[in-house]
Amino acid sequence: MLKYFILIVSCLLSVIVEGSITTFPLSILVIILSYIILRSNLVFVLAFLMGLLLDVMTFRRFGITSMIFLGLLFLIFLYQRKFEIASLPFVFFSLLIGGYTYAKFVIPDNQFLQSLLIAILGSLIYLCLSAIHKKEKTVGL
Amino acid sequence: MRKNSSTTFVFIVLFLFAALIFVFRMQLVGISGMITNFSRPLQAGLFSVFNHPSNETNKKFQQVVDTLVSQAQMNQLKSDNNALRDQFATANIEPSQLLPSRIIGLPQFLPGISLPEQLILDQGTNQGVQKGMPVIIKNVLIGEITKVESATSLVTLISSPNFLFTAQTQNTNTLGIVKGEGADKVVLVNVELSDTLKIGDIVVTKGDKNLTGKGLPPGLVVGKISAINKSPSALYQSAAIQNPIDITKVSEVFIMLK
Repeated sequence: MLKYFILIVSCLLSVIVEGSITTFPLSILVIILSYIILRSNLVFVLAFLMGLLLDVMTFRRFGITSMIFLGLLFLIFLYQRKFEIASLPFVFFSLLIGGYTYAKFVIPDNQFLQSLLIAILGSLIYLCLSAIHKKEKTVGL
Repeated sequence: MRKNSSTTFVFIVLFLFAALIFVFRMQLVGISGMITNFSRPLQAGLFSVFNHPSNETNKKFQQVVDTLVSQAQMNQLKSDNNALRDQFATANIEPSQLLPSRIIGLPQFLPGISLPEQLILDQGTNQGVQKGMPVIIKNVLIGEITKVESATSLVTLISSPNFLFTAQTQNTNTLGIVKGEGADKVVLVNVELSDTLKIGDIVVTKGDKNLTGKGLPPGLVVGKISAINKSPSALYQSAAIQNPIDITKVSEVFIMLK
């Protein structure tokens, strides 16, 4: 339950921050990382709602952000049916490609730089979460 | 297998719903209004945490703007006096209704480092705001409303790339086109080589309107000419305009409703 509470709060925070003070695509980082870690259908629903909220706050055409988020998540879902996605290289490249695709549609400039930064940031967050998860497992044993 | 099919089902339903909203431009006005009312205080709160200019900065900034506006008004009075003496019609500045608005969003790549090109205000169609309305501080033009929701609106700043409007200089009455170039740069372009440009001259909006009657009103201050680029081999000359407004130090602006 705590995992899902943290997920919802981080989704909301990323949308508010991206809607008011920065063009940095934080929401795509939260969504892709959440799906890689949790692999839950709830992430799809949150992606849809976050997209609508972002469209209203950033004055984009209603529905476009939701479509981009859902499309990227579905591609990751299709990939995970054949290959392992809980790995650092996949996290990095999925954030880089997903972030660049998102930025191409909605961010006017510095698209590659922003996607590279979220890929690096997301990879660091994933490393930290993996380390915490391993430590919890060791303590549990 | 079951989980795969449920995920696919969830994706298809949500994607189709999003596609319907997108294709048929379903604004879902009531819902977007509710979302805006919910998000506006959060946006405003977060914005005020990151944008907190000191009193001294505010005073200096106000002094710069006051000086420029007084200079522009004095030039306008001189021009009106001359016109009256010559028995021509004076510039007829229509009375306007100003709506104060707070800035609740200033999206930038790196807040505090990169320069914004748009800002979000806490007034929308509910308060009578429409697309195309100019946004000012005192008599200085900041930008224009480009998108409106029920309780918020998006302003494109004059320094935004491809923001264009006609303008003229106050002292020499030289006509040109003001163009934004991003990164807080504004230039006056398409000025005839035979026309005179002077450094320090104030640039104001010309007040041209399009076929639908919309356009920026005349007499709004754009800035001061800080550099001139004149080459005999070029077709036109241009000038860099120094924008007196540092938008990162501003928390309230005014929308001209008429």
